[in-house]
Amino acid sequence: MFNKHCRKLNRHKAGRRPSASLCQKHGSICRKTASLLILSLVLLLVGCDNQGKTDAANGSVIFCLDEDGESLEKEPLSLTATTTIVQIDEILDTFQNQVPTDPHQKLLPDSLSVISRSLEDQLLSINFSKEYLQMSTPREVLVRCGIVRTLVQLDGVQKVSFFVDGEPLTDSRDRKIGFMTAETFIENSGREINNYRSATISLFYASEDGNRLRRESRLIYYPSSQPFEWAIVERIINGPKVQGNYPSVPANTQIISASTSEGICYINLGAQFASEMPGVNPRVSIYSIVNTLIEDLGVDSVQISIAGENDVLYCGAIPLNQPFTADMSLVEN
Amino acid sequence: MRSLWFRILIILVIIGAVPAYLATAVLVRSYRDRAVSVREMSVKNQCVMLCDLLSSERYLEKIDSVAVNSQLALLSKIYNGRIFIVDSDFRVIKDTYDLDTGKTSVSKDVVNCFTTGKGSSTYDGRNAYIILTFPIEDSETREVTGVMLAAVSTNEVEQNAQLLETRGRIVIILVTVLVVVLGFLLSRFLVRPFHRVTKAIEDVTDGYEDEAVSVPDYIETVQITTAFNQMLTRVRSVDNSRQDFVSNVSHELKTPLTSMKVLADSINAMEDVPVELYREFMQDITHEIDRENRIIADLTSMVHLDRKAAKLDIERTEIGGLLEVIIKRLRPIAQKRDIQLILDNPEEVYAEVDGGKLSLAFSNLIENAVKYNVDHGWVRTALTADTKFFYVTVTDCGLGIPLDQQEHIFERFYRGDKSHSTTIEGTGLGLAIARSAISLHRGAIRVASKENEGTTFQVRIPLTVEV
Ligand SMILES: Nc1ncnc2c1ncn2[C@@H]1O[C@H](COP(=O)(O)OP(=O)(O)OP(=O)(O)O)[C@@H](O)[C@H]1O
Ligand SMILES: [Mg+2]
Repeated sequence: MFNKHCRKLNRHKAGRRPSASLCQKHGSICRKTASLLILSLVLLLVGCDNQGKTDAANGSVIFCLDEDGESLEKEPLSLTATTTIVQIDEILDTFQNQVPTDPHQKLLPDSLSVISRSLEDQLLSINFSKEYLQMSTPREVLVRCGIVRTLVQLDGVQKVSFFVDGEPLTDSRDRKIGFMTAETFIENSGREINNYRSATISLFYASEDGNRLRRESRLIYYPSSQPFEWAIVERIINGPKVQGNYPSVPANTQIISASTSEGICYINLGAQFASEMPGVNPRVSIYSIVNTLIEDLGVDSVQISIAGENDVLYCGAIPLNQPFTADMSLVEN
Repeated sequence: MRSLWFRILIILVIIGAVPAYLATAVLVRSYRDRAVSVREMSVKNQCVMLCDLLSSERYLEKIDSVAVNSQLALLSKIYNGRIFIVDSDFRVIKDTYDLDTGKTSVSKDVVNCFTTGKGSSTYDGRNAYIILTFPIEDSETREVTGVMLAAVSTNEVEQNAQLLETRGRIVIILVTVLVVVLGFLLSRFLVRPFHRVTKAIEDVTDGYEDEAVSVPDYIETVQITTAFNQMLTRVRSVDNSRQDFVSNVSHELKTPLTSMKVLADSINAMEDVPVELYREFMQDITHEIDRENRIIADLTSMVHLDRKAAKLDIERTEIGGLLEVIIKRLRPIAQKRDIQLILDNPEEVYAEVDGGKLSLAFSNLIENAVKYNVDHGWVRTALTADTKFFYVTVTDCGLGIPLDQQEHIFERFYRGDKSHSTTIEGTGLGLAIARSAISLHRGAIRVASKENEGTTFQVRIPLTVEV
């Protein structure tokens, strides 16, 4: 329970991109809350449920179709249930008997029904009746998006996957759809066009043997609300585009914060960063980030911390307590 | 605020500044529309070509076509836009910003393009972008296998439009300032002749200037000054006639007094005057007093008639009866000289008139006809009427009026030939009074006469007087 709660908090942080100090504050809140919860298990349960309830009461929404059936519309959702699984059932019921306000339309076709659902470790699987496959592709996509976005609002649900008559849902080319989150879908493609910036940057990735750094130049676009440091580190985590270059840090690494002050760039990464990268020298992992940021931002040094801590040894070898300066000797030419 | 120059200024400012403002607004607007549509068209052309390339390269099946990717990158760069390619599963297989690749698009534009099979374009001016969608059709089956969505920023257009707007605003301000300054000077200049008119009239009023006013700058000022000069002439002639009148009146009033004084003095100068002589002299003095009285009575009635706002006591009157009363009153005087008075009224004529004033006029005419007649003569008074007017004609067989006197006889105090004026008494007010009374009724009087043969006065008066 404690773990779940903490992860939830981390997710919030990632979403909100708090600054380093704010994050540390969050960390302490996390710890304080945790100790409190450990002290009283009963209180914890009540607290958790209460939180879920207030979340649902405050601005939870359920999706329906607009009058043309071409996009999703929100309608307020109020839940009476207190536990996640009952809330899920309540939502699925609501979908099947939905009566949206005029001129909106019901999201699911009348014939479609839910056969079963199961929740395991915050991963929700829903099994639909055969009629699911009879929907047109546009309708199917909207239905999928509407259901997923409604359900992931619940605290206890992180991802949702769809099954039809027991079989995993596939696309037209028989590829599995798999688990979906709210981020799986984009709604306003291109509408934020003026809120992006672009930059041509150099990125350093691992060489094949994992002992050297290889330079890769790329034109990137990033939302202007996102710090440039964040955008750069994100590109390192997402891996190279050029053949012959190899990822230098784990692909699931989370960025908690990224900021620059007085010539030092502060990067706070999630605990996933600390996990071993097979075949990659830890120095290469560290310096792929350090060299990239120093070259692209023009800062003097880079301070890396893991989950807010910098009093640690990275992979048991490299201390993170000092800011790093660039080491171009690692770069292949 | 009601001044002419101020109004001219306002009008100049309005016709100067308002068109400038409108022109700027229209210009900026049409620039914006035009620039957006040009951009839209060129992106559209490029995208349509690219869509064809996409389907011929079968890009939706494997996205590693170098030709397409480089075209996409180029297009994205040139138009500062972002291009998404969405496959039939609504999955974004290509995003030139590389941020949303692999996600599922539920954008309304994409859904609409898939369901209708037609492209669309949406321009959002406030957020400065155009969204264009294009169906990617299979080159053989013509089925929609994907959608290309291009988002193009129109920030540049917006910035240019704002620049134009700012410049336009500066131009408007300059034009306004210029128009205000020029308008001020011009309007001052334009109304200057009117000030000159005022000045000239004031000079005349103050008595510095006796000449006629002349400001020949505009037709309007010429009209004003001409009208003013006419009025001036009129006022002056009125003034002159008033002076004449006063001197005439005093002279006329003095004459009987002088006679009385002579009579009284001469009787005083004599000694032992017999009673008979006293009586005779006293009779002469009484006669002079009567004359004085008559003159004063005439003057009073004339002043009454002359007043501009003389009130008419309108009443329905039978004109024949009215004439009969006058003739009856004059008959004793006529009989003394054996003059025959004839009234010729075949029918009754009713009219809405002021009977008192009209009988004054008619009795003066008939009285004259008797007075300036020969012994044993006659006077004929005739009354006729039509639908609108009635006519009274007074004809005599008397002395007549010489042609050169005819135009003067209606003037006050004018008396005909000196020879009669000594023998026939009168003050010369009778016809003036008659004419005043008649013109108050909107009527007319005419005279026709031949010396030593006779005279005819014809009077025409409307049956109803419109006030
Ligand atoms: N019927 C007429 N025949 C000839 N002369 C006439 C006749 N009527 C008027 N006149 C001429 O016109 C002049 C003006 O006449 P008007 O009646 O105004 O004055 P008046 O008769 O002399 O004096 P009064 O004021 O006593 O009538 C007269 O002096 C006379 O010479
Ligand atoms: Mg007379």
